[in-house]
Amino acid sequence: MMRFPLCGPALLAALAAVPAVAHAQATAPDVEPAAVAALEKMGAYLRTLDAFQVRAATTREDVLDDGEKVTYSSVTDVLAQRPNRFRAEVDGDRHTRLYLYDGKSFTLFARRAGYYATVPAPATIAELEDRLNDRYGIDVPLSDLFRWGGPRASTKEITAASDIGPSVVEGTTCEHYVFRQTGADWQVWIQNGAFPLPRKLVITTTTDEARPQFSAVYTWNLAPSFNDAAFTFDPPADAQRIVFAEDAPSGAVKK
Amino acid sequence: MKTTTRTLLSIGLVFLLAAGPAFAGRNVRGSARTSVNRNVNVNRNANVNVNRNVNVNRDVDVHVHGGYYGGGYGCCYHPVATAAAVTATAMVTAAVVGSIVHSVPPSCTSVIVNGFAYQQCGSTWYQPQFSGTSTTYVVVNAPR
Repeated sequence: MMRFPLCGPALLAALAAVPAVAHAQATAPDVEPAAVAALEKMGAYLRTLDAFQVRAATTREDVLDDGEKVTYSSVTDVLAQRPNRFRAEVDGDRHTRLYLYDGKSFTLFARRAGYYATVPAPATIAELEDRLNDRYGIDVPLSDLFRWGGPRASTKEITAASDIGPSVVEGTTCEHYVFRQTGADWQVWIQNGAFPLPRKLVITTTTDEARPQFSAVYTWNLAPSFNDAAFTFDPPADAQRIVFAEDAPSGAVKK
Repeated sequence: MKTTTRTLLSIGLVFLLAAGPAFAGRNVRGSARTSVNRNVNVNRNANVNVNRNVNVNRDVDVHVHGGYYGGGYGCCYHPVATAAAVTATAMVTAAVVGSIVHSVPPSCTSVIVNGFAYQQCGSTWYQPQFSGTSTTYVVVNAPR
């Protein structure tokens, strides 16, 4: 397994300072406790945000069958108010998609195609995520932002973690961390100071030898102004209602 | 998804309907995952999305009433795994009820029945649907 330059010294420091932690690390020498702690601190902070708006400029690579990679870009705007308001607009090379949740129903709108589907929704964002995943195979855009610090976080699966050092993202000084878990090597840039927000994320998929990457650079607004209309779907005149494949192959779906 | 049979049927149909330039494209075998905190069922719809062809933007979805018909691909926030391989035996006769395609022929007419959209293509009816976040069309019995 790859070792990072900071790994040794950091572990020595951990050994000297906290014997109990050092003992735990004996079986996982590539995991820097401080890096995991920073990740957990970021997650805990994200969980304290009642309402936020975040824009992510993302890239994602596809792998062709001969191993060549193709990079697609998109911009995702998310507006969320806990516990039961969520809006995401994805504007990408291949897709535009609007996700709307107002605490009662969920709508997915394919703007270019003019198609939308609306279904009853559970009472909270967390339950909505479960429903979308389990029933429809849909992952909420920027879902990591809603999972870090919660029961869905992958922190326990991390097999390597290191603090790489300071790095500036969009003019803001961050600390750069790298993590490894089954199937993915990933990096996160966490803002320094009182607001430990993720400012950048890079995920390298390691299950494909071409190692395709996903990247996101986040711009945060922690004091968004909005009203309930932001979360309610008002279909354009030429929009047509369709179904989710799982609900009805014959169109006999009930609202 | 229901069965492997459906997948094979749908892939066969995709090939039939996309005959021409799409055959020149290379297939997509996988995509970068977009989250590290995963949900267990996130790959369940992958079989609809495999073997897209990549050339001249054929996978870009556009308004169905335009002159260009493209199937959407459930990409960017739904991590998709590589799935079933396509074999030569996947070729079947089109318009089997239950089969799924990524696009419909240009001659189809958009029809609303009971508030839901359909595409009528002669005697064949397609129902647009979201498979994951991508738009696909399933062949259905005439809804009226």
